[in-house]
Amino acid sequence: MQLPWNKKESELDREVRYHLDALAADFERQGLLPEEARRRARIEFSGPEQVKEKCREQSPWRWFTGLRQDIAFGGRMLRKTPVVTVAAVLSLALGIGSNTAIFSLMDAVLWKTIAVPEPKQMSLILWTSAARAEGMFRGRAGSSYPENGLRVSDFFAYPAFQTMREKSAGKAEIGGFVFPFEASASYRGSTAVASQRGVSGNFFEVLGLNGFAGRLIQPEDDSARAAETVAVSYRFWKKTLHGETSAIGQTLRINNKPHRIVGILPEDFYGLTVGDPTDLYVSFHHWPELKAWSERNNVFGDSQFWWVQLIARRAPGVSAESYQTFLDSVFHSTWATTPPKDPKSNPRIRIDEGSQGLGTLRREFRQPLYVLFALVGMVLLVACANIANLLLARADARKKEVALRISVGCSRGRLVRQLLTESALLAALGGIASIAFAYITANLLVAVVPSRGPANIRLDIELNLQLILATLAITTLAVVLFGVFPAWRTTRLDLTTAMKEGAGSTGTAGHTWWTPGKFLVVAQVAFAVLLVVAAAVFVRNLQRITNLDAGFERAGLVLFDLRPGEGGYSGERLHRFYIDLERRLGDVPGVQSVGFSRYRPMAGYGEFSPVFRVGTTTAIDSSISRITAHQLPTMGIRVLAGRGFERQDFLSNPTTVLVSEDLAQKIDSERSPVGAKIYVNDDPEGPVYEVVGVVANVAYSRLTERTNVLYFPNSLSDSSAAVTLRTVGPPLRVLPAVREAIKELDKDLPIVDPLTMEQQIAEGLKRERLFAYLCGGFGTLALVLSAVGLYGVVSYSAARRRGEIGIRMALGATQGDVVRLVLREGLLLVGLGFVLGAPAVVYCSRFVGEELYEMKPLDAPSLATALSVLLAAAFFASLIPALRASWSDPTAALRQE
Amino acid sequence: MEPKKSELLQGTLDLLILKTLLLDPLHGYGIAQRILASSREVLQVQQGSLYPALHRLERKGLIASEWKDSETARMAKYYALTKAGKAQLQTELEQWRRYARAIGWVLQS
Repeated sequence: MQLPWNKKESELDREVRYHLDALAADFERQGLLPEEARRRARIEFSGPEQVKEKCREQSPWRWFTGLRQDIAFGGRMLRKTPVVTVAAVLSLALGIGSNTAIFSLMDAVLWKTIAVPEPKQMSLILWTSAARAEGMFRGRAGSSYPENGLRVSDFFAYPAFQTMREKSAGKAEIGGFVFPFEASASYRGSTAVASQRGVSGNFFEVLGLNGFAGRLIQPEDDSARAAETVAVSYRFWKKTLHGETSAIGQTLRINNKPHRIVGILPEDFYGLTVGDPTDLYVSFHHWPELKAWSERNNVFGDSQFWWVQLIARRAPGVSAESYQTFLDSVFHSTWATTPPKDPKSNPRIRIDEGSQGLGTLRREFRQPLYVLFALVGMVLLVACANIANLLLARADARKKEVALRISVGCSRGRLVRQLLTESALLAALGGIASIAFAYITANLLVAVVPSRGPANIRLDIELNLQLILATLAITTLAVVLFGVFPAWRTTRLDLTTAMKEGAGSTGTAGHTWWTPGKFLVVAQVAFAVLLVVAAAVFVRNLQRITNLDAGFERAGLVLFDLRPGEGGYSGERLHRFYIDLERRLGDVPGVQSVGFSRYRPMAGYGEFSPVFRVGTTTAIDSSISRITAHQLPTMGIRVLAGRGFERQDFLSNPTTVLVSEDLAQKIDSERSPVGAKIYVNDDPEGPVYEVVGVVANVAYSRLTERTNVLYFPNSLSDSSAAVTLRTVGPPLRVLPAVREAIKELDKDLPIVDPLTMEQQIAEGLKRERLFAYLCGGFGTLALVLSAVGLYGVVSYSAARRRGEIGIRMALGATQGDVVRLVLREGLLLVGLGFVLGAPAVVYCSRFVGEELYEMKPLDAPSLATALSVLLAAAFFASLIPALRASWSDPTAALRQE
Repeated sequence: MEPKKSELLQGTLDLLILKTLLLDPLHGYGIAQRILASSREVLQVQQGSLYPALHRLERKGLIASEWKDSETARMAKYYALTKAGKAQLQTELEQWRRYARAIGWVLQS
């Protein structure tokens, strides 16, 4: 099919040709030779092309074909200066792309609402206390964090949950849930690791969700007598259940226990929070972690065990404030019989906005994301300044062409349109490139978003339509800014001067020192100062943390987890398995020693509990480590006083413990605590332990946290364990032999997440790395862009002063003088940039303190590094044009005048 | 020597085209020939200037075009007067007559 404007064009062509042929035929009839007749016809017709052009002006497609011409011409102009074009497109792509990427991350983490109907009705139920709420519970699972001087906690006793639920009837419906845990799920013989969340029977009713297929967990499922059922996430169904609807009703074995699959969750429900990894939902009564706990304790009936997290849907018309007041009184009645020991703690209900789901990730990343967004915004400004500069310089270089066009009658409007089209073309290219760049960056960002806790965060970042529109809006704005100004400036030329000037050189007359280009470079340098300082600070922060002394020997260690409990081991058999395992692993060539602990060291999570000296009620916060006798020598942790664990400590009902140096200090600040008696878990009637040794302070779950550590002998009866191996030679080389050794014990037992200690530590530094890498990237980008900008401006200025420099050299100035002259100009701009950037650095340093580990944002070595890098870059960017100016031949320069 | 031919007065080309098309549809070349013949070889239309005028009139909707077989058995673009074109021709004729009469009076006085 022919496009209308093309049809028009070919018709015009045919029409004119017909006329010419007819004229020529006439002339032939009059006796002319064909050649001559054709010539005469063309003369008679007076210029077929001009006639066509005049006809085209009458065409309704005129504006469009004009635009096509503009674009074609613009494309040619852009190709003519490839370096400028590539630099501009890259600046745009990197600037806008990195903004879009960070913005997508912010959108995903900070602003997304959970995919339930009427999300505004959702509320999270938490409680706050001014001090440690001791005495209210004996066991707890859940999280609490400090905020504005209060402790905010998210766990409740099951009986309290039931009471609050009943009393809230008519006002709100409350559902309960717990943290997701990893489990192994096998379907038709193939096994995958999946996250599993226990929920109350009414949980999905509260959320207002119906299954994509089948049904979800219902109140009937939530009883010990009910059959074991599971609802699966859409992605799990697609991936592991192969997306077959026939999977409903089939059996999914979770940790070797058969569960009937009852339904699939809606596709768009990604979980209770952004990054929620949960794939399997089971009722509380069938949640295995709880089952293990409830074997020893009455977790459903005992109001001393706090473990349920709550989410509520308020009835229409019930405000969060009024519901908070109401629920607080109900809450008070649930613990009135076991009040906290410290009345000052004052536990109160707090209702949080629930439309965005749980706030863990948001809380952790709000500040850092805003900081990053501000930084990336500055990168965009630097990039914009660069483009403006490039376009300005190009407009200047084209002065002569423009003047020529104006003097032969091209209208200013038409000219501005042409220049605008070129800018738009540039912006369009940049826009497309930036979307591609954003896509790549966003996915990289997801990879470095840290995970804490036993299950990994799963974050799907999508570049949604709004984001792409926003990107286009920014691009359009960039076009208007950077297209209109140079275009407008160029068309207001004084024609005669412009025509008189040579193509390359310009006269010394009218040379103004202060050009818009220089202004832009100063601004660029000011932003670059900020970004490079940020880069230096965060990179140094990461370096310092990485090199921190962990308190143990980091090199030569391998870590992995084993979960024999999931493989069906329990009781005496499980104990036996661990003992055999320890012996077998010790025999593996290359393995020097073997230690077990309950949780793996440096994993970012662990077991925490208050410790009390017998006879006192002062809680000492402490991390708990349950280890075998060889764990301390394997890790290289020194025993400072008393002794380490020995064989007799592992006999039944062990009562001996080790303490870290800091903990020892807090138990008894004057004498050695060896021999001191302690109890844990706020339970004075519980077992009493005797301290038998003091060991060195170590990092327990993260390199940046030095907690007190209390060591228990590992009873070797837990369903899973973390293994630490000290190796001779490269750590991971022992793995094949280790796998073999384990296979001989149990051919089906997989080893989970084998990592060297260094890798494990690096895992825990993701957030610091995120900052260091991104800021380092931004800083480098800003540095390069500013250096390019400075180089351009100084070169341009030196070129304009060619005549002047020629005269100076003719009058006896040395090459050194010329170099100094040009360098001075460049460094003056940089100096101005520094002066403007310094206060910004001081101001912005206030916002990043939290991200740094024992380091001030205005860290002297970092500042020194940043400044020297900037100065070096500025020096070289100015030196090249300076040298070029000094090498130019003065006579040639003067002759060109 | 060819006989001397007169240039067209400015602004009269449109009128001549419309008038020529009143009889039957014609292609561009035909219009030029017709004007030359019916002015007894006095009015020489600048062949090239014919087409911008034709396109302009077509855009204004005074004439319409159609591709048809021509006398030479080749397809040619034929222009025909539209209703609006006929009305426009009447007004322009009226104007022209008044104008010519006025010029005549001035020259005779």
